[in-house]
Amino acid sequence: MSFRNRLLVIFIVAVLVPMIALSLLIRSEMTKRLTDQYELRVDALVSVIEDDIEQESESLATSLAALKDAILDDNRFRGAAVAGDQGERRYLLDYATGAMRIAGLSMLQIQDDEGRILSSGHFRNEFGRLEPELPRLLASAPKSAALVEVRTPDKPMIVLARVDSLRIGGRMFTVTGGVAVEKHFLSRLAGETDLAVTLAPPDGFQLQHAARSRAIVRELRVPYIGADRIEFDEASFSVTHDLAGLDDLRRSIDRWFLIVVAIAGLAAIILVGWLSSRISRPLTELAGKTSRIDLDRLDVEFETDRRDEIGALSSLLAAMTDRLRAGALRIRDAERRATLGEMARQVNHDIKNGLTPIRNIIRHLSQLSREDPHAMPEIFAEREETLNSSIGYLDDLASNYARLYPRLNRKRCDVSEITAGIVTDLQGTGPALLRAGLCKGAIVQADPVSLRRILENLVRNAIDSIGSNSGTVTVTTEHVPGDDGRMWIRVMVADTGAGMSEEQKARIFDDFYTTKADGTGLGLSIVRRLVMDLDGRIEVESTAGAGTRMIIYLPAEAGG
Amino acid sequence: METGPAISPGCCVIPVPAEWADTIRFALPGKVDPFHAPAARSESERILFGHLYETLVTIDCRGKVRPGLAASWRSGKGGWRWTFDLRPDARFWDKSPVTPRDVVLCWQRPNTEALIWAAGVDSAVVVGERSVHVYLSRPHKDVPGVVSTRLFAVAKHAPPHHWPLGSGPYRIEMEPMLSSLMFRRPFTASPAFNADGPVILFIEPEARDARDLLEETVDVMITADPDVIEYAAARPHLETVPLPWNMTYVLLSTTRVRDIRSGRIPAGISREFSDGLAQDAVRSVARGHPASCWWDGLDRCAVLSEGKEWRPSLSHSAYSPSTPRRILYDSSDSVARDLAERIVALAVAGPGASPEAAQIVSAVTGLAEQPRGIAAAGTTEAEIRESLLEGNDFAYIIALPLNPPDPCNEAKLLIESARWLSGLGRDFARALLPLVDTRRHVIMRREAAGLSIDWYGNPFITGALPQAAEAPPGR
Repeated sequence: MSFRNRLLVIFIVAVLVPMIALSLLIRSEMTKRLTDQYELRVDALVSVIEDDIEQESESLATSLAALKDAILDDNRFRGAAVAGDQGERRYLLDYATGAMRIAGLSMLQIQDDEGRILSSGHFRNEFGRLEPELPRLLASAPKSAALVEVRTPDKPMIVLARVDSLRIGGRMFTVTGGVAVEKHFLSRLAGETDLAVTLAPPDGFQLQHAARSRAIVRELRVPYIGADRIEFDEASFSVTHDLAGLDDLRRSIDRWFLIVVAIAGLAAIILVGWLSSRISRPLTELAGKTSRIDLDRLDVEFETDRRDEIGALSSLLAAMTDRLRAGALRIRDAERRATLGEMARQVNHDIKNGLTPIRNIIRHLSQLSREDPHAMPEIFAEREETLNSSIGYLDDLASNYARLYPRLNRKRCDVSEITAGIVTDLQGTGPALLRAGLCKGAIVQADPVSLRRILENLVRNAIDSIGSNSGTVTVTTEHVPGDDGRMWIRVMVADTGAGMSEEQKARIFDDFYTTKADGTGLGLSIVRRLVMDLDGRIEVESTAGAGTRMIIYLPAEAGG
Repeated sequence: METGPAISPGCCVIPVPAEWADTIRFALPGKVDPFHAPAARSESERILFGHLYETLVTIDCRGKVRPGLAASWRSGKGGWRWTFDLRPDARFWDKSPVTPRDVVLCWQRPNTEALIWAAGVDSAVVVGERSVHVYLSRPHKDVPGVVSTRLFAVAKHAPPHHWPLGSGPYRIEMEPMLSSLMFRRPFTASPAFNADGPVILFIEPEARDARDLLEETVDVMITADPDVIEYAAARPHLETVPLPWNMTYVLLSTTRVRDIRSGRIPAGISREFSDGLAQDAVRSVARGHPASCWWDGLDRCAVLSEGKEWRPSLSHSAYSPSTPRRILYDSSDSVARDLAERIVALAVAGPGASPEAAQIVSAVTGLAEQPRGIAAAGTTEAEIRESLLEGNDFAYIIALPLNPPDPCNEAKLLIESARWLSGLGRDFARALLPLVDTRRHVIMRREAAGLSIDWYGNPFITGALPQAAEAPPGR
């Protein structure tokens, strides 16, 4: 897992998880408290509705009593209902219609002692129907009132009904009155609250649809007389507090919470990105520098001004590099010694190889001088070639070994001056055109022989890379500031030759690696060692087919 | 109330006073719709349009055919064709002459042509400048009385006039304003009309009590309200005249018709039942329907059994038992409402509750099933027409003329309005369950105006119709 992802996980665990937990707790607590409040309100309204229904029933009783008195005083009614006066029959049929309207009722039914409907206000043409059960049931109802399903011409209706009775001319009549339990009635019961009151009759003939499933519901059961008029049943007023508002509130909280989480998450990603970048960049740089370190490349600088852990790590790495550098010097010294020993053996062997024919010829000539001095000119002539060849071999050998490792003798050298001399000496040794762009005062502390060997080697390689083609070799020197604040002398040898592949470029500093038929493979290896011995560094930039730039950085002499 | 009106030889039920009033305020029993003109659809429109639009001929209260828009007529082709010659001085309100083309165009207007065809008129052709050939679906020995019905009234639509132009004795002087419709005498000086008549101010129903209107503003009122009639009878300045029984209310049940089609013969209802409805259920002037009526003698109407003649015919009503069982009635018709409510009350009580309930339940299949689901449903006249056309509802209470001039054509008109009644043949009469007959009373301020009636019992301010004493030309 990357450092950034680790930071993100830490942030989620440390911030988002507590936030979510807090939100859930708030939601739970809010739901509980609001639900408790709603339940209290619903319970209170149930109690109020119970009182309201009783009051409605009392009011109904008062209206029926007044109607009863009016009927008793009405001679036309008396004539039609008791004396059977056909002339007043229409008056009787329409009586309940007018009386119901005046009394403010929704249902009024006047029945004789047999239970026959004489006059009906809510259903005028229902006259003549026998319905003795309704007044009987109502008379025995608890609290003298009940919900009754009655018919109107166009639909059934539920009323809160009571019954009263009167006696005219020795006959008993009943007056059944009621108020419609419809939407208006229910909203009146509910009052100005946001509670809903519905009525659920026992047979599913529902006045209003039940509330939605998420609701607090309390029921108030009341006696109910269905259309069959057989016996009491039970209907229930349902007081409902719809929890839609609470759900809306919770949804709103959830929405805002998600917005906050999203913003926090976004901020976290940005913050983590910035933080990880700020933390990991120096680490990445340290890793990059560290990856460049090997025994041959110990010129990496770890110096920093930071005082934090990165600074401490940099210091540790710098100290480690210093130790590595010292170790490398020791290793190189040991290597040099080992190389010198090997070389000595090689030189011994090579010289022996070169000396052996000479010794044989000398021995042969010595023998001839003793035994046949006259033959010496002839034999010498015969063996002269061999002698010259051996001497030439030894001469070449000496030349080669002479280039391998000169002894350092540091002193103040002008790099530009040495470079100019080399360019002058090598101008015309090949088809390449040599150019020089040299700065003044390019003073370094170095062994002038080594410096000359370095530059001469590089310029010769550049000329060789151009070969027989036309091309240019440009040599420049300049002062450049280093990362550490010191001034450096930058020497660049650029050619327009064949250039190198990446693979070649990676190996050019290896010992005995050469691309030339007559090369020893030691030139650039020695150059790099010489440069490093001068506390400098060498870089190569090359593109196959386009040329190569060999760049040397040498520490400039202070004040130079 | 059972007594009929005292009708003079000139068909006047109230004689013309010695001196005309300048303005007569005429209270109509219901609303009128100018878009229906000139073919009236209600009693109010029949009264009103009768003053505005003419038919080719009229039938007076004694059944005698009299000239209307046509001055003379004659038959041809063995009674299949009748030729009507228009009155030379016939003019529309805009003073343009009434031409035979106007007659034909008016009969060919949308929604009218099919009814005219159903009424027995195959086609009408312009002949010359003043005559119209009317081809009938069956030969008539006498002039076809059907052309005297409001369906055949002639008018000319002349936008942007709200009302179509008529040629009758009265014309619209003012567009409807408030609840009154004012009519003035036309310019024509036809000798058939009394040119000295008053301005008539027709008044549509108001929310006010009719008795108050009689006391304050109204000169003539048509009503069937027993309380108003009783009140007027007690007021010395008002004269009350009963009009002839002219309407029969029938119950049309889709289930009953299905029974008839399936070979079952459902029961009818007794006169006692009908009398009971008239006496107790209906709050208007009504009587029990007599044992016989015009649709009992339709056997001679061969067209009834020739289902192929109906276009299109329906062998079944569209009513489905799964839909609410409604007894539909025109909400502006109190008699229809009372009857529908009584039938619902009997259905809810169940067949065992009373003999009346048993009768109606046996007469109408399915009436007492699920009493909670039966309902009396008042609606608009237009909705009833739409539902009745294909029989979308359980049952209907509708009013039919008691004495149509041509029963066969009347039956055809009914079937055209209720296509699910087609093809019943001789059983057509069984489909109609007559409930009660009704009539109106005219209450008039004494000496306000004279009042006449036509064959259909429609009242007119005297002078609006040709005088009965006049002999019809061409006869």
